[in-house]
Amino acid sequence: MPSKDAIVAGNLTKKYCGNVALNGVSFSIKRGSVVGLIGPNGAGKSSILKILAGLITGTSGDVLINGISVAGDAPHAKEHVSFMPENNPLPDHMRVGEYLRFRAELKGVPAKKIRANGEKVMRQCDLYYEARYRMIKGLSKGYRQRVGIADAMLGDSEIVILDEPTIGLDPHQIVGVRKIIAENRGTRTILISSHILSELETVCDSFIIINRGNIVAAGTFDDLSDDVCDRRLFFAQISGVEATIRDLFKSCGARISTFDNRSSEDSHAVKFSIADESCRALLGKIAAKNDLILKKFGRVEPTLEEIFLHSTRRCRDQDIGGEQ
Amino acid sequence: MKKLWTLFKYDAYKLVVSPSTYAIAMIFATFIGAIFISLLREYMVAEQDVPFVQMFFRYCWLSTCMAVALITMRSFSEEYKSCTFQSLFSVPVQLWQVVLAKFFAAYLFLLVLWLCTLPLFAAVGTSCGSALLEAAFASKFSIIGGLLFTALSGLFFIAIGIFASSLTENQMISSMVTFCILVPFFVYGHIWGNRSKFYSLDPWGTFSESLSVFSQMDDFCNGVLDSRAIVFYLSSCALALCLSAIAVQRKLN
Repeated sequence: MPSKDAIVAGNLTKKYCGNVALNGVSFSIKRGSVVGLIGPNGAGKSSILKILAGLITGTSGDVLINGISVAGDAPHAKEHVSFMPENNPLPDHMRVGEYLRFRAELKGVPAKKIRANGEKVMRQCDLYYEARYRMIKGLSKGYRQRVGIADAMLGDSEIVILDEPTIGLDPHQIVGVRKIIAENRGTRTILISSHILSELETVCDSFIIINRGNIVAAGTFDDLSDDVCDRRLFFAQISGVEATIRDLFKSCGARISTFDNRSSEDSHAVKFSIADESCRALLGKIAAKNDLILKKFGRVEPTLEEIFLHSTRRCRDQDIGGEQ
Repeated sequence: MKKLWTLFKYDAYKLVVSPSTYAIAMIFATFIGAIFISLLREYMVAEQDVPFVQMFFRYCWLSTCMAVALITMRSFSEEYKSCTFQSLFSVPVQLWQVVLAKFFAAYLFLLVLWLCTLPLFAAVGTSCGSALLEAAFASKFSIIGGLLFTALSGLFFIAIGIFASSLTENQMISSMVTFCILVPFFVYGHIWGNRSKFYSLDPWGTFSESLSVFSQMDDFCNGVLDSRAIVFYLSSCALALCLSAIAVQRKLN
């Protein structure tokens, strides 16, 4: 019986000339899920993706692709993976249709299915009518990205790895990519690395946040917002003097992220983060103050961007604290 | 084998559609044509000691070096520069398949270039109208032997070119490395060709003779298929291709 995990990485380490790019990273990805891999530049995302795709080998540790060790049997493991590298390098001397046929042959798509499979992905990526016979050399960035996505979707690979797939695409094309991912949800395991966090938030079931070669957070959006943000985000509309409000919030340990005093003449819209236990005390103090009137109050769900910034900042703070 | 064939088609197609391929063919044809005509003039004037075909293949070494360097310089260097080698290795292909495909594509092109010289021999050998030239072209076997040797040694030369290309992403450097490896190889052969003059300088004796590309060529043109030369070129070719595979693997990591 196949394992429920399509990808299992164990204690993965990668060093480049002594520099640690990955520091004992371990994670697993469920079969059929769509997972976002997020991290700042130089965090080790591309190294993880290349190791998963069998392009490079880790210094230590291993990855199992559908139970097959990439370090032990890379060619066999690669049969289960489709990879679209960052910047999507393509050979300029070929036509789009030719290139996809070439890739299908290399991926081991049966000869009888190559044509149908190629046409299917070209239609999915809006290449069939406009770019099928065009030379890759003359394609715009957006078209080249779509060729890369079409290539990744070719064949029956159970795992699709996309490194920055939506860079250079216009909003219509991004919707198209989202649609392709939605169509493959459940049947293929898709791992996407991107800096467009709003895009990932829309399409991914779960996330892995990596920073400086370590995984700093992993899980579904709800898991991350609970685990990563130990302080919850709230919104309040209060009327009163700005300085009084600021002092009060500060005294309760609330961290104001936005303070908008232009929302109406006498009230201020405040977005802040605060620990759960301090929130009740803050509300009590506002109620006790006669010159402050709380007009609106509610919890704000953090965005993926906020979770990402929070978790990577926390990691950096820990590093600085450790050094001191 | 199917994937090797697919990769071979890809590399051969890349050569066919590239304008630089035709420029290489043009340069090669010009050099070979010039050598052929200048030799023809010599052989029309007076009978020579060395048969025409033998002399022709001896003079072609520089053209061969140039052609090999120019054909192979793009093989891996271009893939490195455009980063397409990452895409290439992201599919289930083996390293040796990629290396062999590039090798065979370049080798095929070198063979095609050499086969294009056959009409020269055919034209002059049959309708020159000169008794001296007819005598010079009398032995068809020397032509076949010369081409066989070119095909055999071409395996090694192309493998050297592929190796040089696997080292760098700069095509210019790749072609220069190929040239710098092959030229001393020929020059050494040339020195050994004049062994009566240089024998005293060479402490290696028969070993040097077995490495002399010109004496090997003479043997083939005279119908002597020396197994030492065959083993030497095939094993050197295999070694150069293994080194290429190692270099590509290192680039990947």
